[in-house]
Amino acid sequence: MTDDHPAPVVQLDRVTKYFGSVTAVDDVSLDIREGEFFSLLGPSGCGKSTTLRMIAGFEEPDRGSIRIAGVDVTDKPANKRNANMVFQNYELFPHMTVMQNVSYGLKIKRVPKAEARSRTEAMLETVGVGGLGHRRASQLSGGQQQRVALARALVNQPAVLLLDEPLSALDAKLRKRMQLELKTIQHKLGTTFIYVTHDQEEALLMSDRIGIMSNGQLLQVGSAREIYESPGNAFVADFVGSLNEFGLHVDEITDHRAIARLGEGQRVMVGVTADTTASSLLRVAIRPERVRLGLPGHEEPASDPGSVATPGTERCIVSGVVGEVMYLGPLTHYLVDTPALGRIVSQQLSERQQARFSPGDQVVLSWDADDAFVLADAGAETRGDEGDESAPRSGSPGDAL
Amino acid sequence: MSQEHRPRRRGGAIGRISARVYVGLVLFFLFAPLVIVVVVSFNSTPNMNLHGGFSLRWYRQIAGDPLVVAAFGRTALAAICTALISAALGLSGALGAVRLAKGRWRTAVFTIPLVPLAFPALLFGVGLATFYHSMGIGFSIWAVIAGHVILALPFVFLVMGAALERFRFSLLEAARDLGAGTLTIFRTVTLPLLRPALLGAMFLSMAISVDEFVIAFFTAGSQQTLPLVLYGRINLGVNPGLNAIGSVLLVITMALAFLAARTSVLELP
Repeated sequence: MTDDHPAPVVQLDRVTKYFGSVTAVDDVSLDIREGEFFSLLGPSGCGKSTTLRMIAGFEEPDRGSIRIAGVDVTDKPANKRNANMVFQNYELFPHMTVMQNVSYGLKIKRVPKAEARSRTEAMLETVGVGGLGHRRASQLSGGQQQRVALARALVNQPAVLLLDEPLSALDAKLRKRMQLELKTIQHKLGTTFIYVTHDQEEALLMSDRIGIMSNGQLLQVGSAREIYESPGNAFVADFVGSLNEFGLHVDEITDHRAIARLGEGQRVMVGVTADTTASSLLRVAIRPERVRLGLPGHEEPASDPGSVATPGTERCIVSGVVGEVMYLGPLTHYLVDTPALGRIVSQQLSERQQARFSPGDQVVLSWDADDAFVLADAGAETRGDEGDESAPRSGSPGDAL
Repeated sequence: MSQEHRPRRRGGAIGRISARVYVGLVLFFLFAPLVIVVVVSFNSTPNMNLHGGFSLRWYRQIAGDPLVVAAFGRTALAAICTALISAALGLSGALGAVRLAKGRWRTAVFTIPLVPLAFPALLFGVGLATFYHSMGIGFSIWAVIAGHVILALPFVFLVMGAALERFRFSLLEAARDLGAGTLTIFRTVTLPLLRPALLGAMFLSMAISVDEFVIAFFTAGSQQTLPLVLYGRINLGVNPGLNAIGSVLLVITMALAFLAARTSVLELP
C-alpha cells in the first residue's frame, strides 16, 4: 500500500470471533479508507455479517482490535460508536412516524429540535422520500422503508455507514435502481460505506474496493477489476464471475508458460510459477466471456470485431461440438463439448436474428493465453497457499473446486 | 346469493340441531343466573316477583351503606395495585425468560411461573393465612393484594410471553445503534411496543382481583372486599340489595375482561 491514501476510517487488526467451536471470523485485518465504498463479499456463513456486526458493536471480538476514526472502540458498546447501520430488514420502529424514526438518533444526541427537524427533512429529501415524513413505517413500500432506514442512519453523520445486505428483500428491478441510488447518495455525501453482500454482481457494480471472505477468512482485497481479472486464488476466481475449469497435462515449459499440445493443431498455454515442471497436472480456468467461437479453419472469425487478438499474445485453440445454446437476452451462452477439455462455455453477445451456431455444429474455441490462469497445481494439493501475497491463506484449494 | 354457493356442512340436520341445542343450553345456564341478578336488582319491590316495575332503590340503598362503600373502595384499591404490581413483575419475568432461557431450561423457565394456575385456591388461601400468621403479618387489604398478585401473575406472564414471542428484538439493536442506552431503549421502544399487551394483562389482573373471594376470605381480616360483604349479607337472607352489589361486580368484571380482550387484539403490526 502506498501512502497517498487518506488515513483509514475503520481499522480491523487481527480480529477473530468464535461462535462455540466455530471460527466465524478468523484473524481478519483490514483498513477501510475515508470516503470509499467497500464491500465485504462472500457466501452465506463466510463471516462477513459477523465482521460488520463487530464493527457496529453488536458482537465482541474474541481477539484483535477495532478502531473507528482513530478511536479504539473494541470495548465500546454499539451506542458509543461513531458508526450507524442499515439493517437487512430495515428495523424501522413500527410505533413511530417516518420523521420520528429518522430523528431518533438526533433526539438521543440532544440535537436542538429545529436543527434536528431540518436535518431530518433534508436527509429524507436526499434519499428520495421527502413528503412521507408523517406516514408510519408500516404504511411504506419495501423500497421506501429501505430509503427511510438509510436516512435514519445517515442523518447522524456517522464516520462509517454499515449496510448489511440492505437490498436483499427487494425485487430485482427495484434492487437495480437502489444500487445506483446508493452509489449516487454515497458520492454526494462522501460517507464511507461498508457494504455486506453475497451478490458478486452487486459488489462489482458498486464498490471502490471489495474484500472477499470465505470460512471466516479475508481472502483478497482489491478493486472490482483486480478481483475479477487477477483473482488471488481459486475460491475468489470461482466466486466472482463464472469460470470454465479443466485439468491440463503440461507437455513443455518455456519462459514461465506451460504448454499442452492436444493434437490436431489444438494447444493450450497458461502462465505458471517457476516451480511448475513439465508433465505436472494443472487446474486451469478461463472466463466464458474470454472464449471466442469460430468455424474450423477460421479460429479468428472476421464477423466478430471483438475477436481481434491482442498482438504478441499467443492464442489457445481447442475444437469441439456445440452442445447447447442458451439465450439470455443480451448474451448467449454456447456450451461446447471438447474432446480435449470437456465442456467449455463461451459467452457471446447475442445476435439479433438467430444464434450464430446451433447444437451439433463443429466449432473452434480460442482465447488469449494471458486470459487463462492456474487455479491450483493439482500435483501439489497439500500446499496451503499459491505464493500470491494478496491471498493470506486459502484453506485447501481442492475444497474450492 | 344463490343456494348452490353455500358450503355443505357435514353431519346434516341432526348434527346442526344438536349443536344448536348444546350451544343454547350452555349460554342459558351461563347467563340466566346473571340476567336474573341484574333484572331483580332493578326491581322496586323487595320480593323476587317482578311486578313492582323499574327502580334504582337498591342501588341507592347500597350507595348509602358505609360498609358497602368502604368495601368498594378496598376492592378498587386491590384491583389497581394487583394490576400494577403483577404487570411490573410479570413483564420483567417474561422478558428475562424469553431473552435468557435457552435449550433444556426453556421449558422449566416457562412452566414454573404457571404452577399457581393449577394450585387449589382454597389450599392457597389457607396456606397464605397460616403463613401470614406465623410471620406475624396482620390480615389486611395489603395481605389480600399480595395473594391477588400471585394469582394474577401467571396470566400476566402468559400474555406477555405471547407478546414477546412476536417481539422483534432486533429493533432494540437498531435503537442501540442509533445511540440509545438501555433505559432509553426500554422507554422509547420496548415499552411502547408492548403497551397493548401490557394493558391487556393489567385489565385481566384487575378482573381477577375484583371478584376474587377465597384469598380475601382468609386474609382480609376486618378490611372486607366487595365479594366478602356480599357473602356476609347472604347469611342474613337474600335481598335485592345483594343483587345490586352483584350487578356492580358483574359489570366491572365484564368491562375489564372486555377491555383486556380488546387491547390485546389491538396490537400494532
